[in-house]
Amino acid sequence: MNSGVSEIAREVDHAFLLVGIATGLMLLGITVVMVWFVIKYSRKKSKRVVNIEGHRLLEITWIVIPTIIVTWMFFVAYEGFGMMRQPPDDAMIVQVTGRQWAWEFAYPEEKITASEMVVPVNRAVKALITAPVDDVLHSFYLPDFRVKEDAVPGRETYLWFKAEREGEFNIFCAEYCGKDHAKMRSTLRVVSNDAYRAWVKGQIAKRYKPLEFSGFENPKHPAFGKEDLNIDSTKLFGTYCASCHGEAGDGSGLPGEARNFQSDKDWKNGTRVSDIFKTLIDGIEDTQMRSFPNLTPWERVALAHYVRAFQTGALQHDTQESYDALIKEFELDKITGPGETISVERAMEILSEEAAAEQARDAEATPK
Amino acid sequence: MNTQVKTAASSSPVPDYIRASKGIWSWLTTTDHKRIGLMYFVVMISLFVAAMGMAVTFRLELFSPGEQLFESDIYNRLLTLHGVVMIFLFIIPGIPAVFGNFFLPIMIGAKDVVFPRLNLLSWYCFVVGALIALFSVTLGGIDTGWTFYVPYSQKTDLNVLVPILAAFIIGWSSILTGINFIATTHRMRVKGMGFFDMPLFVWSLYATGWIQILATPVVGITLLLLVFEKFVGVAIFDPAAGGDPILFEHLFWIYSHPAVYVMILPAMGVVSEIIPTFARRTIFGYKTIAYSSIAIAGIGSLVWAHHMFTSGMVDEARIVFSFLTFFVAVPSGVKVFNWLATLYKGSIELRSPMMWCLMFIFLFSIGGLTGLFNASLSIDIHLHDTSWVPAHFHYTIFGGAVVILFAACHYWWPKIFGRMVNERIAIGTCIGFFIGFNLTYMPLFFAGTAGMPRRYADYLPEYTIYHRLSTIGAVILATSILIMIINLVRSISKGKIAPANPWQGATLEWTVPSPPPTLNFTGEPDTSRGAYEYPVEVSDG
Repeated sequence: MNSGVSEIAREVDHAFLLVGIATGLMLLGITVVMVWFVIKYSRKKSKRVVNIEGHRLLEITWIVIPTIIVTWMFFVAYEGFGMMRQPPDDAMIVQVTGRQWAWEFAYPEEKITASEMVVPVNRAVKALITAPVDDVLHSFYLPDFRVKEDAVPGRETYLWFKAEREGEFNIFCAEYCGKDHAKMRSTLRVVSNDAYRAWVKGQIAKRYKPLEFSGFENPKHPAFGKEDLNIDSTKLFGTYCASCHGEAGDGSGLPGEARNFQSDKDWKNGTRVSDIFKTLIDGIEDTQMRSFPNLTPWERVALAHYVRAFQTGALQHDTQESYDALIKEFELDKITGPGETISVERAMEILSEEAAAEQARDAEATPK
Repeated sequence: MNTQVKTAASSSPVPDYIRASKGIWSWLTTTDHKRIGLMYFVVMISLFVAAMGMAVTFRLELFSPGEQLFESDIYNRLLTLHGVVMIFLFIIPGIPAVFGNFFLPIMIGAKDVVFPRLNLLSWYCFVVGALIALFSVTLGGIDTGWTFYVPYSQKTDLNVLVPILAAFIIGWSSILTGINFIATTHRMRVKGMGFFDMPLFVWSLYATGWIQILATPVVGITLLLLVFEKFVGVAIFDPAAGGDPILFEHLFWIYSHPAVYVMILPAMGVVSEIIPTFARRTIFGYKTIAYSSIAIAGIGSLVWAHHMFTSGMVDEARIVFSFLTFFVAVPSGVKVFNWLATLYKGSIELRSPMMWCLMFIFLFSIGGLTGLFNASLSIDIHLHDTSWVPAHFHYTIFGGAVVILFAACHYWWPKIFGRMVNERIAIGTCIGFFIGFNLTYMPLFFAGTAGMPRRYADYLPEYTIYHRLSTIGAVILATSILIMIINLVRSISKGKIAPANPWQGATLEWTVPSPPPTLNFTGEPDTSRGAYEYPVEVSDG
C-alpha cells in the first residue's frame, strides 16, 4: 500500500480507518461479551436461570445506536465519493480503452497512444474509460489511488486522480473478462513534468521514426522513414537491373545498349532522382529499357536512389529538395500502404521542431 | 407432560419415517416432508463436497504466482463451477430445503406441509435444474464466474441462456417451496399456536418464503429477455446491437441479492433455536427477532445495486443504494445483540451445536461488519472486485449460513436418524474448522486492501504471502469438514441410540420420537409448553 499518493487515497484511507475503528470496537464488544457470558453462566457455575423475555429500553437502545453509527458511516464515506466524482475542470484527459486482454491509453491532445499510462506528477488526470462495443466488461483499477471504474462496451465512464508522488503503480483489470483476465495489467508511471514532455516527444518520434532501408547509403529524406519502406534495394537492383546494367552499374550486361550508370552523360530523361523515377514508370521508347509497373512507388524511389549512388558524388547533390520534388510530382505522400502513414508535412514539422530544440540547446551550451 | 411423551416415544408401535417403507422407489415417490428434506440433503452435501474439492484445487494453484498446476482457462472454469454449485445448488436451497422441510411441519404441530406433492415436485425441479447447470458449466465451457455478466457470457461456447435456464428451473423449486412454507405456516399450525407462539426458525422460514416468491421471478424475466435478444433480435443487453450490459447486472442482483438473505435468514432462525436450548432459558426479545427477520427481508430487497458501485451506474443511484444498504445492517445487528442477551443468566452447555453457533456469532459478525466497508461508497470503490469481497461474503455465507447448516446437522442429527453423534470428534472438527476458516479468509481481507483483484488465475509476487496462508488454511478447513462429515455419517449406524429429547429442547420436534414416525405425531401435539419455556432450576448436567 502506497498510502497518501493522492488526496482521494488519503481520504479513502481515512474513512477506512474510521469505519475500521468503529467496527473493530463492535467486534471486540460482541466477542468479549459472548466469551464472558459463556464462562460466567456455564452449566457448572450456573444452575438457576432467569428467563428474561426482553427489555424494551435496552432493545430500543441497540436499534437506535447502530442506526446512528451506520448513518455516520454513510457520511464518512460519502465525502470521499463526492471528491472522486468531481474532477477539476483543468484535468488532463487520457482515454482508456479496455479490450481482451490489454489496456490502451490515448492522449487526444498529443494524438498518441500507448500501452502504459504516463502522467505528470501533481496534475489532475481524468481517465475517460470505455471498451469497444464488441468487447466485454473490464474495470480500470488503480489500487494505490483507491479508484476504479468499469469499462463498459459502448459507454463512457470516468475516474480521476492527481498523483502527488512520482513512481510506478499497478494498473489492474478488476472485472472478470475471460481467459487472461489476470494478465490484463499495465503500469501507471508518474513522472516529472520534463520527463513527461520528453516521453510525449519520444512517443511521437517513435511513431514517425525514420527507419533506414537497406541499400540506401545516405537517406536524405524523412519520408523514407515509412515503416513499409524497408526495401532491400541491392536485391531489387540484382533482380530487375543487373542483367543488363551489370552489378557495378556499368552497363556490362548488355554492352553498347545498356546505360552505364557511372557516367553522367547523355541521360535521355535526365539524372535527377525524379527523372530516374519517371523512367522506371514509362521506360524509354525505342530502347530495350522497359517500364516496371509491377514495382511499388517506393521500390522505384529505392532503385532511383541506388542508381544515383553509382555516379561519383551524385548523392551529395541529392538534397532534401530533390526528393521533395519527386514526392510532390508523383504525389507519393498520398499513398496509403500498410502500417502507420503520416503526411510528409507532419513528419518534417516534427523533425524541424526537434532540430530547433537541438540548436537551442547547443546555443545555450556554447557561451559557457 | 414430559414423561408422558417419553413413554409414548419408547413404546411407539408406529414405525419411524425411515423404516415406514423400503426401496429406492419409495423414496423417489415419497410425499413425506422428512424424506424430501433428506433427499435434498443427500444431493446437496454431495455437491458441496465436490465444490469444496474444486476450491481446494484452485487454491493449490494459487499457492505461488505463475501457472503451476493448470492454465488460466481451467482455473476460470473451476472458479465458476465452485461458485455456481455452492450458490445455486447448495446454499440457496440450503437450510430451508433440508431442515425447513424436515422441521417446519413438526415445529408447528402439523402432519406434513400443506402441499406434499408440490413439495416433491420442488425436489425434482431442483434435481433437473442442477443437472442442466452442471452440464452447462462442465461441458458447455461456461467460465464466466457465477454472476454470468453479459456481454462476456453471451460470447461463451454455450450462450448464457442455458445456465440462466438452469437457474430458472431451480428458481421454480425455490418458489414452490416458498409458497408451500408460507401456506403451511398460515394454515397448518396446531390449534392454539398463534404467530407469536411459533418457534423463530418458523418465522425465519416464513420471511424467506416471501423473498423466494417475490425475487425469484426476476430470473424468469431475465431468461425471457435473453430469449428475445437471441431469437427475435431485439437489442437488450448486447452493446454491439445497442443494448445495455448494465441492465443485466441490475436484473442479476435484483434476484441474487435477496437470495443472500434466502441463505442467511433461515440460518438466523436456527441460531434462535439452538442458543436457548443450550442456555436453557427463554429467548431474549422474541418479537424483535421475529420482526427483524421481516425487516431484513424487506430492506434486503432494496439494496441490490450496492454490487454495482463501480459499474458506471449514475452517481445518484450509487448514493441511494449505499444509504439503504447501511440500514440492512441494523436488524442483523439487533439479532446478534438479542442472542448475546439470551446467554445472560442462562446455564450454558458447550455441546457441539452450541459451539458451532458461538463460532457463527463471531464469524458472522466479522462478515457483517466488513460488509459496512463495502456499503461505504468511497471505500467500496477501492475494495470492489478485490479479494476483500470473497473474504467478506465467505465470512457471511460460509461462516454464517453454512456454519449454521453444520450446527443444524449436529443439533437435529439425533432427531433425524435416532443416533447420537460422537461429541469429541464433533468438537475437534469444529475447532479445526475455526482455525482453517480464519486462516483461509482473513489473509484475503489484507490482500484486498492491498489491491489484489479477485478471480485472478495469477498474481503479482507482492501478494504471495496472503495466498500462501490462505491455501494452507483451505487444506486445514477442507480436512476438518471431511472428518466432520465422516463423523456424522458414521454415527447413523454406529452412534448411540438417541432419546426423544437429548438436548432438553422446548420446541415440538423434541416431543416426538427419534426418528419421528411418518405422520410426525402419534397423538395430539403437546402444546402445553411454549417454544422457549424453560424451568428456572436446571435439572441435569
